[in-house]
Amino acid sequence: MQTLPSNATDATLTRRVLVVDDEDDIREVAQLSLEIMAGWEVWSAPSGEEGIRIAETAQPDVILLDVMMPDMDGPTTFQKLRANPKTRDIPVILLTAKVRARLVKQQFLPLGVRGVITKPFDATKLADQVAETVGWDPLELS
Amino acid sequence: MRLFFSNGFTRAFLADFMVSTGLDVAEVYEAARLAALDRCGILDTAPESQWDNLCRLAAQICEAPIALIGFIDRSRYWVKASYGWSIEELPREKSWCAQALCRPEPLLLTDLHEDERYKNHPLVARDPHICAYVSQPLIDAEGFVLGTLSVMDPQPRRFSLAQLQGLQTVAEQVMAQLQLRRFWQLEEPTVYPTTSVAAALGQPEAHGTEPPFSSKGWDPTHPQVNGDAQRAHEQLYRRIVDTAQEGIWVVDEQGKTCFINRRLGQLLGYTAPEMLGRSLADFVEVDQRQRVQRLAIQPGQSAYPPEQVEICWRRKDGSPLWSLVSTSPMLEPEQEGGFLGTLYMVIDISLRKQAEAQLRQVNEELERRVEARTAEWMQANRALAESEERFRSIFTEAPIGIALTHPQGSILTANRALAEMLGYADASELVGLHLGSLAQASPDMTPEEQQQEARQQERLAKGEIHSYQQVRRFLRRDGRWIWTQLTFGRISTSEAVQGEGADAAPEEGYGLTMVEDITERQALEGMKDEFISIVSHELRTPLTSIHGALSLMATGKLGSLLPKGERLLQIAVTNTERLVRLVNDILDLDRMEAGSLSMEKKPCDAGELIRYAVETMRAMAEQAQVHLVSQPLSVTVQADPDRIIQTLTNLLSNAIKFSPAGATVQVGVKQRHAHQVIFWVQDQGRGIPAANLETIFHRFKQVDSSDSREKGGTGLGLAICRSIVRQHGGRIWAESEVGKGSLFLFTLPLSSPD
Repeated sequence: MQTLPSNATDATLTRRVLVVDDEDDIREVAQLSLEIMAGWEVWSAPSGEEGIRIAETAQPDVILLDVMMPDMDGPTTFQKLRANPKTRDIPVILLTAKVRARLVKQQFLPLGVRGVITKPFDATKLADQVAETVGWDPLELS
Repeated sequence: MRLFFSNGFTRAFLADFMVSTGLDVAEVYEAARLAALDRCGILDTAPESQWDNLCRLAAQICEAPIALIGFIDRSRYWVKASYGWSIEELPREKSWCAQALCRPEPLLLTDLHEDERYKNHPLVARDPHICAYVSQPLIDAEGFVLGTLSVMDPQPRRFSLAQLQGLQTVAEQVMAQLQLRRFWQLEEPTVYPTTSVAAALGQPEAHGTEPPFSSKGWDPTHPQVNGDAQRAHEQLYRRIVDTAQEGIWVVDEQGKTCFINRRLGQLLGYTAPEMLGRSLADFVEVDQRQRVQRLAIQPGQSAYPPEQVEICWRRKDGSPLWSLVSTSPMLEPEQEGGFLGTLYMVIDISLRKQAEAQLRQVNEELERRVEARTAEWMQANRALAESEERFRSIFTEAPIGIALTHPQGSILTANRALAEMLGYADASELVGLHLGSLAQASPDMTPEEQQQEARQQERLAKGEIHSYQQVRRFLRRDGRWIWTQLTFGRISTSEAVQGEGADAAPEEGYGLTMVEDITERQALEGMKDEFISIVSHELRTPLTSIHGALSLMATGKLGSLLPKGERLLQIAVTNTERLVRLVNDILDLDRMEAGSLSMEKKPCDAGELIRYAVETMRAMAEQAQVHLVSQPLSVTVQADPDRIIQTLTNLLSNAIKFSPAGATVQVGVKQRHAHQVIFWVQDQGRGIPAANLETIFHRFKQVDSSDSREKGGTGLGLAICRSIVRQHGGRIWAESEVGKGSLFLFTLPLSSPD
């Protein structure tokens, strides 16, 4: 898989994504999905704390953050990312169950969340959804 | 037996009866009364001084100027004697005396000039200007009122009790006078005794003008008198015998007729010679012979038939004559035990018999009708009792708890099932308890639900709904709580309210509450919810991973597989997708039916919803080579757009799946009426049998069970559609003709202006 320079500006340039989800398999499927389908560079974290730590250092282009997590949940993690000057400007997309999507949107879009993607997601289309939500050019998927 | 008839009913019934039988008892009575008056022979006789004297006596007793004795004939009041005022007769209807017929007691009228009823009466308004009036009825031995003795005064006045009593005495004297008259006004006898009885009585045989019996025969205590005196005596007895209103019939010791008087001849229609020498039995029909024999007295018999016997004689013309016959032996006075024959007194009772027969007929008819009504009533009563018993046993034996309550909620009566449910030994222990204090609303009832129940209570009281249901907890006597489903109904207390229509004021009725123990069902529901929740989280997460992994592999970006490997991967992906859909549908439907998935209704454009659904399904339609045609109409509905799109895509997906290649699927919406739009999806598929049109909306009820495998459906799509439409206040249904296609329709309320 080809890795492009981080400062590339055309549509095929490599995006850097952080996936935060407590469920290992889901997290891994999401990571693999983004890597395989879009060729993006993906970090993953099993908890909010770990996610914040990675975000501070890796400075990803977008963070996919699961809402339902033990210990520190998605919204709390989001608040902390917002409060942190190092991570404040990184766009955050919340991952949530379909039935709660509406409520989550109502609650967090006004607080600066970039978008909401519902679970279970389609592994072949996740990268598309992320690009669309953040406002990147559509991917040319084969 | 007749007690159940109300007075009103009896009166109406009798009036109806008189009309239907045409009988008038008063007519029968009046005919008998006139016959009695005729027998007196008083009408139209010349004035007699004895009668005038009685009038004067009456006037003097009452210290009044006028007195009259008169008789009530068919159409007139005929005056026999008067004092102080001369009048011969009055029309019967102008006579107050006629009133005496109705009331055989004194009639007293005073101040006639002031009396509205009489002030214009000729005797009051004109000469002699009567102002006070008193009359005493003249009543014969049989009780018939024949006439009156009246006293009148032109001055207003009162009569003392002594005067009224005196008047009564005079009236009795008038009747005695009438009686006497009958003895003295006689005609010559036509029948004479010719038998040995007469001879034994010391009477010369065949003595043309001689009286029938000598004084010796009639009055043994009377001493022998001289010729003239004896003759006068005989004259008297002869008159008595021939004047008597009773038939006199004498038979000798052999039972042969030896004497009859004139009256008997009249009664039977025979002349004396025709009857003499014949026995009583010759004058009756065969069926009366035995009765006649009871009349016979044997010589030496010590006890005689004391009673009067009713005999029906056969008259000469063959007609029957009913009579009352009394019997007495004729004994030789100077010879102890000497038996001469038997004397029969025969009284005509044909009028009485006729009246009796009519009365009997009336009574029988009355009785018959009463019995018929009674039978009807008894039958209705029995049917009612049986029906009541049936309903009572339904109530007591019903396996569901039932309570009848006062409007205020206290229990009037309850059945066994309710008592058992609540831990009471007998249903009677529940009587008087307050149902509301035993039952408690579910603790997690929201204020909105409480409001809704209050609304339902109100609507029930108004009669807008017949019943409503609530889930409540009941505190059993042993302190345990049970969950119940209550159905509240209402029994109107007034039938009139139901009859008068909708504008009648609602009355407080009795409450009818049915109680079903759902504790176990509730527990099962809880288990089911829990199970579904587990399925939701424990099945879904691994499924998502499997599905994600398989679909990424299937993209081919990780290298290519052998063709058989590709095929296996494809099978795994397809079935995983189906499993994901199934789990999602089960969860969706469950949440919707539990009400936990609320509809986010807002005004949205129906045409937009259709366009969106069509876009979603276009790829699938193209793959199946099915044409999608939409007729979107821009109209605003009140709906949850995501859920309506889900419904439309579900219906479109079904339509496409069941359409052959090249067929057309149409989808559209139009306004049905002022408050509703109707959506439809029509296909040209194989259609749905009529029997399945309703069941296809139930869970896992596809027409053909192989469909779920072939078409990839979960069997829940239509159940979800129905649930969504219902939660929008709409209705969904299908119409279809097998072989020609199906039409699915659902309605939605239009967006309300507010």
